[in-house]
Amino acid sequence: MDQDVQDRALPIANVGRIMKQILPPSAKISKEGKQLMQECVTEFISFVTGEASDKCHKENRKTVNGDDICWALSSLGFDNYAEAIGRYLHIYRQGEREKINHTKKYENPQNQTQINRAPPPPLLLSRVENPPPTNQSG
Amino acid sequence: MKNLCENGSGPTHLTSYALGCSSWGTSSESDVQQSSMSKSLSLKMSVLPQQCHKTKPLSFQYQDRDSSSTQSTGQSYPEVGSAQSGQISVQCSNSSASSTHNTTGGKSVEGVIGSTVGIQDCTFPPSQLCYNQSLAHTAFHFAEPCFSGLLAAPFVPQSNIHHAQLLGMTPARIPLPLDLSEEPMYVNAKQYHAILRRRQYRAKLEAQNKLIKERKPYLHESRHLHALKRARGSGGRFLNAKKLQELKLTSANRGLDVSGCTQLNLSGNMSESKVQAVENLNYRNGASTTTCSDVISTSNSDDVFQQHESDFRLCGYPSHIGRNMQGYSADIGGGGGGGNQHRLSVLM
Repeated sequence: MDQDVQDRALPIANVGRIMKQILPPSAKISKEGKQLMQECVTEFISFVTGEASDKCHKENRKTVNGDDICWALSSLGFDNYAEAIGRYLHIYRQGEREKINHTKKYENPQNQTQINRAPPPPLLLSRVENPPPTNQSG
Repeated sequence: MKNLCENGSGPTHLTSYALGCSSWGTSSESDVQQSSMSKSLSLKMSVLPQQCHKTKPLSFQYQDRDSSSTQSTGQSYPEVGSAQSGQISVQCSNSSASSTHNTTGGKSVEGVIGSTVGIQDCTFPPSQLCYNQSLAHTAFHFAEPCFSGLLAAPFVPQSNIHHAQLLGMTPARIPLPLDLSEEPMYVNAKQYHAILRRRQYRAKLEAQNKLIKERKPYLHESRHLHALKRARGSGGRFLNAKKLQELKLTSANRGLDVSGCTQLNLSGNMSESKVQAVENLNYRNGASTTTCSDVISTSNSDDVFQQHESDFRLCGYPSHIGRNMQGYSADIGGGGGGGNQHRLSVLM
Protein backbone atom coordinates (compact mmCIF):
# COMPACT_ATOMS: atom_id res chain seq x y z
CA MET A 1 0.00 0.00 0.00
CA ASP A 2 2.69 2.50 0.99
CA GLN A 3 4.82 1.42 -1.95
CA ASP A 4 2.00 2.12 -4.39
CA VAL A 5 1.51 5.61 -3.01
CA GLN A 6 5.18 6.54 -3.19
CA ASP A 7 5.63 5.12 -6.67
CA ARG A 8 2.99 7.49 -8.00
CA ALA A 9 5.13 10.58 -7.45
CA LEU A 10 8.62 11.52 -8.57
CA PRO A 11 11.33 11.43 -5.90
CA ILE A 12 11.26 14.80 -4.19
CA ALA A 13 15.06 14.92 -3.85
CA ASN A 14 15.50 14.77 -7.62
CA VAL A 15 12.87 17.46 -8.12
CA GLY A 16 14.66 19.74 -5.68
CA ARG A 17 18.01 19.08 -7.31
CA ILE A 18 16.69 20.06 -10.74
CA MET A 19 15.07 23.17 -9.31
CA LYS A 20 18.43 24.13 -7.81
CA GLN A 21 20.18 23.98 -11.17
CA ILE A 22 18.62 27.24 -12.30
CA LEU A 23 19.06 29.13 -9.02
CA PRO A 24 22.20 30.88 -7.71
CA PRO A 25 24.32 28.83 -5.30
CA SER A 26 23.16 30.74 -2.24
CA ALA A 27 19.45 30.26 -2.96
CA LYS A 28 17.32 27.87 -0.91
CA ILE A 29 14.05 26.12 -1.72
CA SER A 30 11.48 25.40 0.96
CA LYS A 31 10.15 21.91 1.42
CA GLU A 32 6.66 23.18 0.61
CA GLY A 33 7.92 24.55 -2.70
CA LYS A 34 9.51 21.23 -3.60
CA GLN A 35 6.36 19.31 -2.69
CA LEU A 36 4.17 21.58 -4.79
CA MET A 37 6.53 21.32 -7.76
CA GLN A 38 6.57 17.55 -7.28
CA GLU A 39 2.80 17.44 -7.65
CA CYS A 40 2.82 19.78 -10.65
CA VAL A 41 5.46 17.77 -12.49
CA THR A 42 3.80 14.46 -11.71
CA GLU A 43 0.46 15.70 -13.00
CA PHE A 44 2.04 17.15 -16.15
CA ILE A 45 3.73 13.84 -16.96
CA SER A 46 0.43 12.03 -16.47
CA PHE A 47 -1.32 14.61 -18.64
CA VAL A 48 1.05 14.23 -21.60
CA THR A 49 1.47 10.47 -21.24
CA GLY A 50 -2.30 10.01 -21.10
CA GLU A 51 -2.64 11.80 -24.43
CA ALA A 52 0.12 9.70 -26.00
CA SER A 53 -1.34 6.51 -24.58
CA ASP A 54 -4.75 7.37 -25.96
CA LYS A 55 -3.27 7.64 -29.44
CA CYS A 56 -1.45 4.31 -29.09
CA HIS A 57 -4.66 2.69 -27.91
CA LYS A 58 -6.51 3.87 -31.00
CA GLU A 59 -3.76 2.56 -33.28
CA ASN A 60 -3.69 -0.81 -31.47
CA ARG A 61 -0.10 -0.35 -30.33
CA LYS A 62 1.22 -1.28 -26.91
CA THR A 63 4.44 0.74 -26.68
CA VAL A 64 4.55 4.51 -26.21
CA ASN A 65 7.72 5.76 -27.89
CA GLY A 66 9.40 9.14 -28.25
CA ASP A 67 7.46 10.11 -31.35
CA ASP A 68 4.20 9.59 -29.50
CA ILE A 69 5.34 11.94 -26.74
CA CYS A 70 6.26 14.59 -29.32
CA TRP A 71 2.88 14.20 -30.98
CA ALA A 72 1.09 14.44 -27.63
CA LEU A 73 2.88 17.66 -26.73
CA SER A 74 1.91 19.17 -30.07
CA SER A 75 -1.65 17.92 -29.75
CA LEU A 76 -2.04 19.55 -26.34
CA GLY A 77 -0.79 22.91 -27.55
CA PHE A 78 2.82 22.73 -26.35
CA ASP A 79 4.24 23.26 -29.83
CA ASN A 80 7.44 24.85 -28.57
CA TYR A 81 8.16 21.85 -26.41
CA ALA A 82 7.32 19.45 -29.23
CA GLU A 83 9.81 21.09 -31.59
CA ALA A 84 12.65 21.09 -29.08
CA ILE A 85 11.94 17.53 -27.97
CA GLY A 86 11.86 16.40 -31.59
CA ARG A 87 15.31 17.84 -32.24
CA TYR A 88 16.65 16.34 -29.04
CA LEU A 89 15.19 12.94 -29.91
CA HIS A 90 16.95 13.12 -33.28
CA ILE A 91 20.31 13.85 -31.63
CA TYR A 92 19.71 11.07 -29.12
CA ARG A 93 19.02 8.51 -31.83
CA GLN A 94 22.12 9.57 -33.74
CA GLY A 95 24.18 9.02 -30.60
CA GLU A 96 22.67 5.57 -30.15
CA ARG A 97 23.40 4.67 -33.77
CA GLU A 98 27.03 5.78 -33.47
CA LYS A 99 27.37 3.74 -30.30
CA ILE A 100 26.18 0.62 -32.09
CA ASN A 101 28.60 1.18 -34.98
CA HIS A 102 31.42 1.73 -32.53
CA THR A 103 30.69 -1.63 -30.93
CA LYS A 104 30.55 -3.41 -34.28
CA LYS A 105 33.98 -2.14 -35.32
CA TYR A 106 35.63 -3.85 -32.37
CA GLU A 107 33.69 -7.08 -32.80
CA ASN A 108 34.85 -7.45 -36.42
CA PRO A 109 38.69 -7.53 -36.63
CA GLN A 110 38.79 -6.50 -40.28
CA ASN A 111 37.13 -3.17 -39.50
CA GLN A 112 39.94 -2.16 -37.19
CA THR A 113 41.99 -1.04 -40.19
CA GLN A 114 39.76 2.01 -40.59
CA ILE A 115 41.33 5.23 -39.38
CA ASN A 116 38.31 7.27 -38.33
CA ARG A 117 36.38 6.16 -35.25
CA ALA A 118 32.91 7.20 -34.20
CA PRO A 119 33.10 9.92 -31.52
CA PRO A 120 31.39 8.98 -28.24
CA PRO A 121 28.13 10.89 -27.66
CA PRO A 122 28.18 13.68 -25.04
CA LEU A 123 27.27 12.74 -21.50
CA LEU A 124 24.28 15.06 -21.51
CA LEU A 125 22.60 12.86 -24.10
CA SER A 126 22.14 10.17 -21.49
CA ARG A 127 19.56 12.40 -19.83
CA VAL A 128 17.32 12.55 -22.89
CA GLU A 129 13.78 11.46 -22.26
CA ASN A 130 13.36 7.76 -22.96
CA PRO A 131 9.69 6.99 -22.39
CA PRO A 132 9.08 3.65 -20.67
CA PRO A 133 6.87 1.13 -22.49
CA THR A 134 3.23 1.32 -21.43
CA ASN A 135 1.22 -1.87 -21.90
CA GLN A 136 -2.44 -1.36 -22.62
CA SER A 137 -4.81 -3.83 -21.02
CA GLY A 138 -7.77 -3.38 -23.39
CA MET B 1 13.99 -1.77 -8.08
CA LYS B 2 11.07 0.51 -8.93
CA ASN B 3 12.67 3.31 -6.98
CA LEU B 4 15.78 3.03 -9.11
CA CYS B 5 13.65 3.29 -12.23
CA GLU B 6 11.92 6.30 -10.74
CA ASN B 7 15.24 7.97 -10.01
CA GLY B 8 16.39 7.29 -13.53
CA SER B 9 13.32 8.60 -15.29
CA GLY B 10 12.66 11.67 -13.14
CA PRO B 11 15.54 13.93 -14.19
CA THR B 12 15.27 12.69 -17.76
CA HIS B 13 11.70 13.87 -18.11
CA LEU B 14 12.41 17.19 -16.50
CA THR B 15 15.47 17.74 -18.66
CA SER B 16 13.42 17.00 -21.75
CA TYR B 17 10.77 19.49 -20.71
CA ALA B 18 13.42 22.06 -19.92
CA LEU B 19 14.70 21.66 -23.46
CA GLY B 20 11.25 22.58 -24.67
CA CYS B 21 12.03 26.18 -23.77
CA SER B 22 14.99 26.42 -26.13
CA SER B 23 12.76 27.59 -28.96
CA TRP B 24 12.13 30.78 -26.98
CA GLY B 25 15.75 31.71 -26.47
CA THR B 26 17.82 30.13 -29.23
CA SER B 27 16.20 30.46 -32.62
CA SER B 28 19.32 29.47 -34.57
CA GLU B 29 19.94 26.14 -32.92
CA SER B 30 21.11 23.54 -35.41
CA ASP B 31 20.15 19.89 -35.24
CA VAL B 32 23.39 18.22 -36.29
CA GLN B 33 26.69 19.01 -34.61
CA GLN B 34 30.01 18.23 -36.25
CA SER B 35 32.15 17.13 -33.32
CA SER B 36 31.45 15.82 -29.85
CA MET B 37 33.18 18.79 -28.23
CA SER B 38 30.89 21.28 -29.91
CA LYS B 39 27.96 19.03 -29.06
CA SER B 40 28.64 19.05 -25.36
CA LEU B 41 29.43 22.78 -25.32
CA SER B 42 26.30 23.65 -27.24
CA LEU B 43 24.09 21.50 -25.05
CA LYS B 44 25.57 22.75 -21.80
CA MET B 45 25.38 26.38 -22.85
CA SER B 46 21.75 26.01 -23.83
CA VAL B 47 20.73 24.45 -20.52
CA LEU B 48 20.67 27.65 -18.47
CA PRO B 49 18.40 29.81 -20.67
CA GLN B 50 16.09 26.85 -21.18
CA GLN B 51 15.51 26.21 -17.53
CA CYS B 52 14.61 29.84 -16.95
CA HIS B 53 11.27 29.11 -18.57
CA LYS B 54 10.66 25.53 -17.54
CA THR B 55 8.31 26.37 -14.68
CA LYS B 56 5.90 28.55 -16.63
CA PRO B 57 3.87 25.88 -18.51
CA LEU B 58 3.98 23.70 -15.44
CA SER B 59 2.30 26.38 -13.37
CA PHE B 60 -0.11 26.95 -16.23
CA GLN B 61 -1.11 23.31 -16.15
CA TYR B 62 -1.31 23.13 -12.41
CA GLN B 63 -3.48 26.23 -12.16
CA ASP B 64 -6.08 24.78 -14.50
CA ARG B 65 -5.99 21.32 -13.03
CA ASP B 66 -5.98 22.34 -9.41
CA SER B 67 -8.86 24.80 -9.64
CA SER B 68 -11.01 22.61 -11.83
CA SER B 69 -10.44 19.47 -9.81
CA THR B 70 -11.12 21.23 -6.52
CA GLN B 71 -14.39 22.73 -7.69
CA SER B 72 -15.77 19.74 -9.53
CA THR B 73 -14.66 16.57 -7.76
CA GLY B 74 -13.19 17.81 -4.50
CA GLN B 75 -9.87 16.11 -5.08
CA SER B 76 -6.79 17.74 -3.63
CA TYR B 77 -3.91 15.79 -5.17
CA PRO B 78 -2.83 15.14 -8.76
CA GLU B 79 -2.33 11.53 -9.70
CA VAL B 80 -0.01 9.50 -11.90
CA GLY B 81 -1.34 7.13 -14.53
CA SER B 82 -2.56 6.75 -18.08
CA ALA B 83 -5.57 4.41 -17.83
CA GLN B 84 -8.91 5.22 -19.40
CA SER B 85 -12.51 4.57 -18.50
CA GLY B 86 -14.78 2.87 -21.01
CA GLN B 87 -17.42 5.30 -22.20
CA ILE B 88 -15.43 8.47 -21.70
CA SER B 89 -12.52 7.12 -23.70
CA VAL B 90 -14.82 6.33 -26.61
CA GLN B 91 -16.21 9.85 -26.57
CA CYS B 92 -12.74 11.35 -26.34
CA SER B 93 -11.55 9.19 -29.20
CA ASN B 94 -14.22 10.54 -31.52
CA SER B 95 -13.53 14.15 -30.67
CA SER B 96 -9.78 13.66 -30.84
CA ALA B 97 -10.12 12.01 -34.25
CA SER B 98 -12.09 14.96 -35.56
CA SER B 99 -9.53 17.39 -34.21
CA THR B 100 -6.76 15.36 -35.82
CA HIS B 101 -8.57 15.60 -39.14
CA ASN B 102 -8.81 19.36 -38.73
CA THR B 103 -5.10 19.70 -38.05
CA THR B 104 -4.18 17.70 -41.13
CA GLY B 105 -6.49 19.73 -43.37
CA GLY B 106 -3.94 22.34 -44.42
CA LYS B 107 -0.96 24.40 -43.40
CA SER B 108 -3.04 27.51 -42.84
CA VAL B 109 -4.98 25.72 -40.12
CA GLU B 110 -1.73 24.69 -38.49
CA GLY B 111 -0.58 28.31 -38.53
CA VAL B 112 -3.79 29.31 -36.82
CA ILE B 113 -3.18 26.73 -34.11
CA GLY B 114 0.32 28.13 -33.62
CA SER B 115 -1.08 31.60 -33.11
CA THR B 116 -3.56 30.14 -30.64
CA VAL B 117 -0.66 28.91 -28.54
CA GLY B 118 0.79 32.40 -28.66
CA ILE B 119 -2.43 33.94 -27.40
CA GLN B 120 -2.59 31.56 -24.46
CA ASP B 121 0.99 32.18 -23.41
CA CYS B 122 0.36 35.92 -23.20
CA THR B 123 -2.25 35.54 -20.49
CA PHE B 124 0.16 34.06 -17.91
CA PRO B 125 2.86 36.11 -16.17
CA PRO B 126 6.45 34.82 -16.16
CA SER B 127 7.57 32.70 -13.25
CA GLN B 128 9.14 34.28 -10.19
CA LEU B 129 12.07 31.90 -10.43
CA CYS B 130 13.50 33.63 -13.52
CA TYR B 131 16.23 36.24 -13.26
CA ASN B 132 15.78 39.88 -14.22
CA GLN B 133 17.33 39.30 -17.62
CA SER B 134 15.11 36.30 -18.10
CA LEU B 135 12.08 38.39 -17.24
CA ALA B 136 12.95 40.98 -19.87
CA HIS B 137 13.75 38.22 -22.34
CA THR B 138 10.47 36.45 -21.64
CA ALA B 139 8.46 39.65 -21.90
CA PHE B 140 10.00 40.33 -25.30
CA HIS B 141 8.96 36.91 -26.54
CA PHE B 142 5.48 37.30 -25.08
CA ALA B 143 4.94 40.49 -27.07
CA GLU B 144 5.66 38.88 -30.42
CA PRO B 145 3.12 36.03 -30.12
CA CYS B 146 0.52 38.57 -28.99
CA PHE B 147 1.02 40.56 -32.16
CA SER B 148 0.85 37.54 -34.48
CA GLY B 149 -2.07 36.19 -32.47
CA LEU B 150 -4.07 39.36 -32.97
CA LEU B 151 -3.45 39.29 -36.70
CA ALA B 152 -4.64 35.69 -36.96
CA ALA B 153 -7.64 36.19 -34.69
CA PRO B 154 -10.33 35.99 -37.41
CA PHE B 155 -9.18 32.49 -38.41
CA VAL B 156 -9.23 30.98 -34.92
CA PRO B 157 -13.01 30.27 -34.69
CA GLN B 158 -12.86 27.82 -37.58
CA SER B 159 -10.93 25.20 -35.65
CA ASN B 160 -13.04 25.63 -32.51
CA ILE B 161 -16.55 25.54 -33.98
CA HIS B 162 -16.83 21.81 -33.35
CA HIS B 163 -16.14 22.12 -29.63
CA ALA B 164 -18.23 24.94 -28.20
CA GLN B 165 -20.14 28.09 -29.00
CA LEU B 166 -17.86 31.09 -28.83
CA LEU B 167 -18.57 33.94 -26.45
CA GLY B 168 -17.10 37.38 -26.07
CA MET B 169 -14.12 35.88 -24.27
CA THR B 170 -10.79 34.98 -25.85
CA PRO B 171 -11.58 32.96 -29.00
CA ALA B 172 -8.98 30.32 -28.16
CA ARG B 173 -10.77 29.23 -24.98
CA ILE B 174 -13.86 27.12 -24.55
CA PRO B 175 -15.84 26.82 -21.30
CA LEU B 176 -15.06 23.76 -19.21
CA PRO B 177 -18.18 22.29 -17.61
CA LEU B 178 -18.18 22.20 -13.82
CA ASP B 179 -20.41 20.20 -11.51
CA LEU B 180 -20.85 23.21 -9.26
CA SER B 181 -23.00 26.08 -10.46
CA GLU B 182 -20.12 28.55 -10.54
CA GLU B 183 -18.56 30.68 -13.21
CA PRO B 184 -17.21 28.49 -16.03
CA MET B 185 -13.45 28.15 -16.44
CA TYR B 186 -11.97 28.58 -19.90
CA VAL B 187 -9.18 26.25 -21.00
CA ASN B 188 -7.18 25.54 -24.13
CA ALA B 189 -9.40 23.87 -26.69
CA LYS B 190 -6.72 21.31 -27.46
CA GLN B 191 -6.51 20.22 -23.85
CA TYR B 192 -10.26 20.01 -23.23
CA HIS B 193 -10.67 16.28 -23.70
CA ALA B 194 -7.38 15.44 -22.01
CA ILE B 195 -8.48 17.36 -18.92
CA LEU B 196 -11.79 15.53 -18.83
CA ARG B 197 -9.97 12.21 -19.17
CA ARG B 198 -7.62 13.07 -16.31
CA ARG B 199 -10.59 14.02 -14.15
CA GLN B 200 -12.23 10.67 -14.75
CA TYR B 201 -9.03 8.84 -13.92
CA ARG B 202 -8.50 10.80 -10.69
CA ALA B 203 -12.10 10.15 -9.68
CA LYS B 204 -11.51 6.43 -10.22
CA LEU B 205 -8.37 6.52 -8.10
CA GLU B 206 -10.20 8.39 -5.38
CA ALA B 207 -12.90 5.74 -5.37
CA GLN B 208 -10.18 3.12 -4.91
CA ASN B 209 -8.56 5.21 -2.18
CA LYS B 210 -5.18 5.36 -3.90
CA LEU B 211 -4.48 9.09 -3.86
CA ILE B 212 -1.14 10.36 -2.59
CA LYS B 213 -1.16 10.69 1.18
CA GLU B 214 1.16 12.31 3.67
CA ARG B 215 4.44 10.44 3.76
CA LYS B 216 5.06 8.45 6.94
CA PRO B 217 8.05 9.72 8.94
CA TYR B 218 9.46 6.17 9.09
CA LEU B 219 8.60 2.75 7.71
CA HIS B 220 9.90 0.37 10.39
CA GLU B 221 9.31 0.83 14.11
CA SER B 222 12.41 -1.11 15.16
CA ARG B 223 14.70 0.96 12.96
CA HIS B 224 13.11 4.13 14.29
CA LEU B 225 13.81 3.07 17.89
CA HIS B 226 17.39 2.16 17.00
CA ALA B 227 17.94 5.61 15.53
CA LEU B 228 16.62 7.19 18.72
CA LYS B 229 19.16 5.25 20.78
CA ARG B 230 22.20 6.17 18.71
CA ALA B 231 24.62 8.76 20.05
CA ARG B 232 24.34 12.18 18.43
CA GLY B 233 26.83 15.03 18.30
CA SER B 234 26.34 18.76 18.07
CA GLY B 235 23.82 19.59 15.39
CA GLY B 236 21.99 16.32 15.87
CA ARG B 237 23.99 14.12 13.51
CA PHE B 238 25.00 10.59 14.41
CA LEU B 239 28.48 9.97 15.77
CA ASN B 240 30.62 7.28 14.19
CA ALA B 241 33.12 5.13 16.10
CA LYS B 242 36.05 7.43 15.30
CA LYS B 243 34.38 10.52 16.68
CA LEU B 244 33.37 8.64 19.82
CA GLN B 245 37.03 7.84 20.52
CA GLU B 246 38.01 11.47 20.03
CA LEU B 247 35.21 12.59 22.31
CA LYS B 248 36.38 10.28 25.12
CA LEU B 249 39.93 11.64 24.90
CA THR B 250 38.55 15.17 25.10
CA SER B 251 36.50 14.31 28.16
CA ALA B 252 39.55 12.75 29.87
CA ASN B 253 41.47 16.02 29.47
CA ARG B 254 38.63 17.97 31.03
CA GLY B 255 38.36 16.11 34.33
CA LEU B 256 37.14 19.05 36.38
CA ASP B 257 34.42 19.94 33.90
CA VAL B 258 33.29 16.36 33.69
CA SER B 259 33.04 16.03 37.46
CA GLY B 260 31.00 19.24 37.64
CA CYS B 261 28.52 17.96 35.08
CA THR B 262 28.36 14.65 36.89
CA GLN B 263 27.34 16.39 40.09
CA LEU B 264 24.48 18.15 38.38
CA ASN B 265 23.26 14.95 36.78
CA LEU B 266 23.50 13.02 40.04
CA SER B 267 21.41 15.58 41.88
CA GLY B 268 18.61 15.46 39.31
CA ASN B 269 16.21 12.75 38.19
CA MET B 270 17.39 10.77 35.19
CA SER B 271 14.86 10.18 32.44
CA GLU B 272 14.40 6.83 30.78
CA SER B 273 16.03 7.94 27.55
CA LYS B 274 19.18 8.92 29.45
CA VAL B 275 19.26 5.50 31.08
CA GLN B 276 19.10 3.91 27.64
CA ALA B 277 21.86 6.21 26.45
CA VAL B 278 24.02 5.17 29.40
CA GLU B 279 23.46 1.50 28.61
CA ASN B 280 24.37 2.11 25.00
CA LEU B 281 27.54 3.92 26.00
CA ASN B 282 28.47 1.05 28.33
CA TYR B 283 28.43 -1.25 25.34
CA ARG B 284 30.39 1.15 23.15
CA ASN B 285 33.04 2.11 25.73
CA GLY B 286 33.92 -1.38 26.94
CA ALA B 287 37.42 -1.25 25.46
CA SER B 288 38.63 1.90 27.17
CA THR B 289 38.42 1.26 30.92
CA THR B 290 42.15 1.92 31.44
CA THR B 291 41.60 5.69 31.45
CA CYS B 292 39.13 5.65 34.35
CA SER B 293 41.76 5.98 37.06
CA ASP B 294 42.92 9.33 35.65
CA VAL B 295 39.42 10.74 35.75
CA ILE B 296 38.81 9.60 39.31
CA SER B 297 42.15 10.85 40.52
CA THR B 298 41.34 14.35 39.27
CA SER B 299 37.75 14.38 40.50
CA ASN B 300 36.78 16.33 43.60
CA SER B 301 33.45 15.89 45.32
CA ASP B 302 33.57 19.40 46.77
CA ASP B 303 33.32 21.08 43.35
CA VAL B 304 30.33 23.33 42.87
CA PHE B 305 28.65 23.50 39.48
CA GLN B 306 29.11 27.09 38.34
CA GLN B 307 29.29 26.83 34.56
CA HIS B 308 26.73 28.66 32.49
CA GLU B 309 24.14 26.96 30.34
CA SER B 310 26.10 26.80 27.09
CA ASP B 311 29.05 25.05 28.74
CA PHE B 312 26.67 22.58 30.31
CA ARG B 313 25.23 21.80 26.89
CA LEU B 314 28.68 21.32 25.45
CA CYS B 315 29.72 18.84 28.14
CA GLY B 316 26.29 17.29 28.65
CA TYR B 317 27.38 14.32 26.56
CA PRO B 318 30.85 13.74 28.08
CA SER B 319 29.26 13.52 31.52
CA HIS B 320 27.80 10.17 30.52
CA ILE B 321 31.25 8.87 29.63
CA GLY B 322 32.65 10.11 32.94
CA ARG B 323 29.94 8.39 34.92
CA ASN B 324 30.49 5.12 33.12
CA MET B 325 34.23 5.23 33.70
CA GLN B 326 33.79 5.83 37.42
CA GLY B 327 31.37 2.93 37.61
CA TYR B 328 33.88 0.57 36.04
CA SER B 329 36.64 1.72 38.35
CA ALA B 330 34.44 1.08 41.38
CA ASP B 331 33.82 -2.44 40.18
CA ILE B 332 37.51 -3.09 39.71
CA GLY B 333 38.55 -1.58 43.04
CA GLY B 334 35.95 -3.49 45.01
CA GLY B 335 35.04 -0.51 47.17
CA GLY B 336 36.62 2.70 48.38
CA GLY B 337 35.54 6.07 49.64
CA GLY B 338 31.99 7.22 50.30
CA GLY B 339 31.89 9.08 46.98
CA ASN B 340 32.53 5.97 44.94
CA GLN B 341 29.89 4.06 46.83
CA HIS B 342 27.40 6.83 46.16
CA ARG B 343 28.06 6.76 42.41
CA LEU B 344 27.80 3.01 42.24
CA SER B 345 24.39 3.09 43.87
CA VAL B 346 23.19 5.57 41.25
CA LEU B 347 24.22 3.26 38.43
CA MET B 348 22.28 0.32 39.94
